[in-house]
Amino acid sequence: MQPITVAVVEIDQDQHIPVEKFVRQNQTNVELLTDTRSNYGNHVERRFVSRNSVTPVDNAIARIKRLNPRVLLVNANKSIDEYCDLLLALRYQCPDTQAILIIDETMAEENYLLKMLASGARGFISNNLDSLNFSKIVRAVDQGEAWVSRKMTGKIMHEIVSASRCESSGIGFDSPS
Amino acid sequence: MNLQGLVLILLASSSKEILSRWEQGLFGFSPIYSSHSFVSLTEKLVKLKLEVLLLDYELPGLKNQQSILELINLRREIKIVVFSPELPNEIEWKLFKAGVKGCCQNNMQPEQVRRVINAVLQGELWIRRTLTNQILNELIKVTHEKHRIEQAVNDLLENLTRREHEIAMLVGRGESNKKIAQQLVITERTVKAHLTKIFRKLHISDRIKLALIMKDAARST
Repeated sequence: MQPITVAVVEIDQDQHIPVEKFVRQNQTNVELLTDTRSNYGNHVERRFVSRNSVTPVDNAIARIKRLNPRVLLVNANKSIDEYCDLLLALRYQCPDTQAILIIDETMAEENYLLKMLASGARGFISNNLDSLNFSKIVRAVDQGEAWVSRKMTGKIMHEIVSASRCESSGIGFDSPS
Repeated sequence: MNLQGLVLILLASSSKEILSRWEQGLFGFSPIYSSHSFVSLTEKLVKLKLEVLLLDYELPGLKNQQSILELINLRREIKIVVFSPELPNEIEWKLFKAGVKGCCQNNMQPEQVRRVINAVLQGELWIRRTLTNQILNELIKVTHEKHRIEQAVNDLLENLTRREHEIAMLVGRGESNKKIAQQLVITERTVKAHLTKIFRKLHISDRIKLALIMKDAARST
């Protein structure tokens, strides 16, 4: 069985995701992709950090396209608005890559998460996850499942139901006669 | 929230076996009512301030999603959990879109029933994992459509003159033509003339729609 390729993106984050902690040694079903041709020196993992000449989002998308991971871990320990643009761009430019947010559960706001999921993230996990659960989640998302809490599905469904009630109540424009 | 609190629960099924399992799961908690037909269920929904409804999808008189929509319209805040034999994904999805909070198999064990109730009382959704992907896809679709409408509204609002915009804002705040006229020091007839132009420019036919559009526009800015 081919391993599931995973890459990390982080824009303006104070702390790195401890991906190495998630991916156990000798674990064969998840492969962490890194780009070692970085200008950060040999043998240093190159993450999707920004360069000055292009926007951080364009830069990240270019690198994601090059690595073409099946699963992308988005370091969202700190809430960054650029991630919405990144996720939207990802949907069109790398449709086969599924994004999972890594969040700090003590800090993450529900509305921010909702916005990110509406932009295309396929789920979110806590930054203190153990490696066994990590590989289970990566496999599930890679197979097309979403990874969100029951509480968040309740909130999402509330948005959907409210929107369809608005639609059916006829709020909107009249069709031109 | 835990079931230790006072929660009004209604069990709607004509099957003794199902009712017995539900009752075992909810043993010792809450005032519990039961209905054996759709008619008595609607009567109880109107009379009682119920919070949770466990609904057997095979309840006599219940006609699929349409009946469930009727129940939700009778009591918007009620949390409905549907129990049925295994349903196809698309039916289950329609039930969730109608507003139900959970779908379970009707042979669910009492302990599990208790977990479901606790979850929905905490604002969670009891949904199969295979359907969560559909929820996310729908969220993306709904958000996209919302942005599209907001953009269309903003484009149309830009066609209004400053005076028309002023009047539209006042309609959005619920002001009458008379009040608007007084506030802007113009005649009511002039207000009506402006409103006719506003309705034409926004492709709408009445002030209620205008008020809703202005409220939405204010919320999104």
